[in-house]
Amino acid sequence: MRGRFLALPTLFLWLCAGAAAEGLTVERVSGRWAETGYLLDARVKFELDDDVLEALNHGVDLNIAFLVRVKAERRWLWGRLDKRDAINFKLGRRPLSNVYVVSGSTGRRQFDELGNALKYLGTIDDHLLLDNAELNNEQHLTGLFRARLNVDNLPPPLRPVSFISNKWQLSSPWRQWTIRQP
Amino acid sequence: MAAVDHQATMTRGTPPRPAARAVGPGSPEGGARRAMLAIGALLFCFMLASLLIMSKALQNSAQFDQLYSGLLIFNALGLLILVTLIAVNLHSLIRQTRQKAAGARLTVRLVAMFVILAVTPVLILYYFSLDFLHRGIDSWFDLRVEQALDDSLNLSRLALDGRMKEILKQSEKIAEEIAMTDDALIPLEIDRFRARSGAGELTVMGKQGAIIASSSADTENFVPDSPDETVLFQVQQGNSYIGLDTTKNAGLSIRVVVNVPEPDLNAGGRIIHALYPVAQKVNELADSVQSAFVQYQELSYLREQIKLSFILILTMVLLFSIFSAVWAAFYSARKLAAPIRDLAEGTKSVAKGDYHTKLLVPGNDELGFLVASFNDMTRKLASARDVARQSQNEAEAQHKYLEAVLGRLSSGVLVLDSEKRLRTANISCGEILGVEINQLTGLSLSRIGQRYPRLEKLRQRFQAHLDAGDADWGEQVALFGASGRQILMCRGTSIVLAREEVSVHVIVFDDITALLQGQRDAAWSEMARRLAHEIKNPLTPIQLAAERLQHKYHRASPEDREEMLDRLTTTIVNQVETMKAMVNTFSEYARPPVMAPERVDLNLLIEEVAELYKSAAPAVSITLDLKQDLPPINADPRKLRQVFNNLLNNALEAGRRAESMALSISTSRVSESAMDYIETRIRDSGEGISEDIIATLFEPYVTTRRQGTGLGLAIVKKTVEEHGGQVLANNNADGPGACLTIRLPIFEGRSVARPEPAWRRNAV
Repeated sequence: MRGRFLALPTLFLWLCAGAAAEGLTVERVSGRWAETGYLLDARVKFELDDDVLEALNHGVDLNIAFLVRVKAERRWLWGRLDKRDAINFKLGRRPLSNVYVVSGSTGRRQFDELGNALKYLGTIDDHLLLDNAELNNEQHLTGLFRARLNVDNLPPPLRPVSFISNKWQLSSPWRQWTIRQP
Repeated sequence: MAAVDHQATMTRGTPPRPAARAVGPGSPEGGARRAMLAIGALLFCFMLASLLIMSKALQNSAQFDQLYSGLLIFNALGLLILVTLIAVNLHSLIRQTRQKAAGARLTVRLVAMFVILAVTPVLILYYFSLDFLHRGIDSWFDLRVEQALDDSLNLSRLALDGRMKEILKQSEKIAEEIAMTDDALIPLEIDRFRARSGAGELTVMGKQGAIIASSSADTENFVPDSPDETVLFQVQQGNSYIGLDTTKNAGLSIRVVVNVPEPDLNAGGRIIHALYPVAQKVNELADSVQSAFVQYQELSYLREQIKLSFILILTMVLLFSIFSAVWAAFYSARKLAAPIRDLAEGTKSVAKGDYHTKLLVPGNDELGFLVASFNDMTRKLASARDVARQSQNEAEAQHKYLEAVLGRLSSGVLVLDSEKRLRTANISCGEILGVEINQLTGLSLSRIGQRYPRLEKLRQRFQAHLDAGDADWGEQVALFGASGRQILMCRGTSIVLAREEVSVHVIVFDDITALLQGQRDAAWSEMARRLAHEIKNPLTPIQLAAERLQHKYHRASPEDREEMLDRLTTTIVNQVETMKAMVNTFSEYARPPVMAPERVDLNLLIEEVAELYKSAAPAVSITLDLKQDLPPINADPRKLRQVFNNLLNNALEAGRRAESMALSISTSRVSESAMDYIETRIRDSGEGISEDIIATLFEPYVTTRRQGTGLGLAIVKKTVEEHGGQVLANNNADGPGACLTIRLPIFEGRSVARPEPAWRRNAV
């Protein structure tokens, strides 16, 4: 009887683990205080499935989102969410020039090789997370970072498949780091 | 609706009716059904709109693109709700069918019919739609189109490649010229180099990316574009780079990065970076070719997914249509079957006796007419039932009245059904017959006769009249039992019960034993009184005349006649004396009772009388068996002594003809009909009583003795009855002789004068 009760959570965790395939890995995330504010640095490793690569090479653009949250830790309660931020990139291939194009808020870059494009995509340097005006007197701030493939921006015919297929559920777990006060 | 109006009226005098029960669409069930219909209709509209938007989104409509996922989930949930609604309806219908609820089978048939009619064409349409869908999407893709697009792209590439080669050569020439130019002069000469090469932007930089000089045709953009690290790395390796690139403002451009040949090996090395704009027309054409190619490639890649998505939407539409149709079938079937179900339930209620069921008329159609007719019928039935109930109440009241009258009637009344079974009988019937009449109800006459042999003669007479079919008869029937003879005056008649259409026999009888006895006693008393009056008066003159005759002619007569005269006159005088004694006895019998009651110890009185006779008739064995501790009775001792004298005299007279005589006298206390008596038994061993006279033994002038007046036992009976007692005579069952039984009531603290007890009526 007890095994039966344990089986359900186990199955749920297994499904969750399966649903979030480890195609994206946050290798490093850190930050530093500069004159303008708190700057974020992160390194994300992309291991795209063949199906995803095939879609990319057939003209399907991939939308990658880096989600950042800042929480103020409290002694007796859960942390208060202070800030949400999202860094969005789109990765696509241009057959005429045979290059991979990464476009986003920081600009537009093209690469002859996919590896270079993914390397560029997975490199976040000096992203202004908190400016000085947003800094309050909280003693303990915690940052959360994750990367995920935004399936909602896929072409509609591909979405039902992406909802139920593990290969399209590319998402890294939340990576946490401590934001030290300057 | 007239029937409904009539329902509210109430006839005066009828019992209050229960509130009419409304069945139909106005009931709470109907409200829930309407709410369910509204929810279903709302869901239907939302799902229909959602499916339309999904279809638009699938066709790359940017307006609804972001709603696609939400709509997909919404539709899935909507279908789930519809399935749940259908499951609930189905479960309810199955349950109603198993419970054989009214209208359930009709609902099943209607639902099945609706579902078949709705689903069959939809499924056919779905099948062909799937086929057309596959064919339609497959027709989008053609190898020739694909090849043409590939060729277009390759052609574009070739065209651009040729241009790129020229630009590379030109850039390398510029690099050679720059190699001859000193770094300090380059800023002065670079505009000329850019203009001569036709580049949009020309930058001379170190191999590490440090800009030495730059020139741009775009006068508003002061920040020169720079190659990325990989390009720089490629150039640092000694290779030139040329490629198509899309810049921020110029659209498609050709990016060239070449090394500047340095004659001095120790020099740090320089590179030039140039961006050549592609002609606007070429740019547009290349963009168009690339877009078409990408779109086709993407479409080709998503071919199966597109099919799947269309099939998904089509299937959703199909399921939506089927589920909606099935749900609508349930709703319509229930709505159609509702009046019929209500009618069935109403009919059941009527069958159970509830005539106040009122159905709401569903409309002006045939069903509405049927329901209105049903309401009219129940109204009439209720009215008829009320009338019947009133009649029944009246009949019950009459029955109770009759029962009360019969219960207080002194005559016995019994009713026999056509099978000669006792149907009803009043209380007096049981009292007269001395039976528990309630236990005999339902028994046949023969069973009653078997159970009570004393009533056998009565049964025979009843049976005879009933078998003879006498419609109206009367007969006097005498019964004999332990308490003596009982004379019943019976009258019978046959009547037909109109309500039950059966014939019953009503028999009324009275116990006239006491009446007859009283009449006889009165007649005998009157006769005795007249005898005493008419005979006693002439006796004295006769006696005086005889004595005078003797006195006057005694001396005058010759001697021979003197003796004869004395003998004759003496005879006359003696006979007159005898007649006087007889007349006195008659007077004694006829005179009204004069009682001098006192507390009498009966045992003591009997002992005194017995002692007298023991000495007078020593040959007779007289034994006494007297119960001790008997209570005293309230009686006239002189009269009781006369009673016992008469009885003992009779017993001794009866025993004179026998060789030996034994006489036993016993007393005991008995209880009968809630009364206590002292019973005295005088038992002799004589000849016994003749069967001819035993029934009339206590009547006057009934005697077997030649010298007897026949008034002894009559006076005994009269005296005992004056004391509220009872006297019985019967022959001994276990030997010769007879037994006379006297019962005298024990009236503790009361006088003798009291109402006659019931048992006395039955005494002989």
